[in-house]
Amino acid sequence: MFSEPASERTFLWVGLSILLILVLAIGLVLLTRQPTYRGVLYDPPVAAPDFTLYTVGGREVHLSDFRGKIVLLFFGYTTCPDICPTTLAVLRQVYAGLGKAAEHVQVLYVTVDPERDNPDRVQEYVSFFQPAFLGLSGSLEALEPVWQAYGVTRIIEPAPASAAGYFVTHSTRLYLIDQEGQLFLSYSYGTPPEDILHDLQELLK
Amino acid sequence: MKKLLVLILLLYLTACSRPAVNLSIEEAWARPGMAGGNSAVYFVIENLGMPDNLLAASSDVAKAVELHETVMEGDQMKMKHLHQVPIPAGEKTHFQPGGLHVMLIGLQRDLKVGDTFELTLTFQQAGDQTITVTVQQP
Repeated sequence: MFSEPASERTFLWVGLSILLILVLAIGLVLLTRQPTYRGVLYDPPVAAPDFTLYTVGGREVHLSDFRGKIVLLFFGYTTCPDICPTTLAVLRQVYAGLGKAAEHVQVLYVTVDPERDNPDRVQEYVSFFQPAFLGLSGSLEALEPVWQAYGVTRIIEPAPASAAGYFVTHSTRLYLIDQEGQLFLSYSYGTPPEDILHDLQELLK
Repeated sequence: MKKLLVLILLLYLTACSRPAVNLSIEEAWARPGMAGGNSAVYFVIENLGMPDNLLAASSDVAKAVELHETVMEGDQMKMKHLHQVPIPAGEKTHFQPGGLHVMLIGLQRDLKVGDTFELTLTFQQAGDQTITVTVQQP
């Protein structure tokens, strides 16, 4: 029998200690890892203001009906030929990308133009992109507090020379409300569908 | 020889009687839409000739056809109705989502993916140019 020199044993212990610390550190990082989102984070998240609006046939819809699902909320108008359909086309791609998980996500499209967009018209319009999307309208009195609560600016711009009659200048943010009804993320116009899909998949994990 | 001279003369006359068209209009597409609703047409105009102006657009696919531009001011979307669009020489002018577009107001029929229709663009110099537009998803 021969015994190890003391220096060699110390070396072994130091090595083992370093290894143990490394394993613990990696474990800690993995456990506390915060998912990164590509949308703009509400920090801290705030309760999404509830509302009551109407869809096809005058059926009442409350935001709170979708507790447990992720809601993507967007404001627009059906006469809008450029930005609104762009965002709806993006949402259609996101929805398709979710596959079966799409049942956990609800897209809500709220009009900023109740004069032209009654509930039937908004629903017909959004169904054109994806029948599962809900189009919502209501009276000016019902809609104004909703626009206000979500910080949506909305200005009627007369356009007498245009066959459209008037345009509605409006803000274009897309809001993500999580399963607990908290405003969690928002997206600016032009966010690629992959980014929104990424965040949804992260939240649905 | 005489025939050749006549031919040259004819070519010369043809060239002089109409302004030289050096515009190419490519990648024309429109969004799907439903009868009674609206849509927008996008394309790229490359001007290899003199500076020109796009004055109007027309098509029998919609009740009204107008030149519009979407302008983003911060988070806000604003629509502008244009009476002419300058088409600078030696450049490509892009009509694209979130910018310049031809707005179709009051579609006469559904526009489904794969459908085609004709759109006439009226230029100050180049006159009427008719293009074929294909309906597709962006």
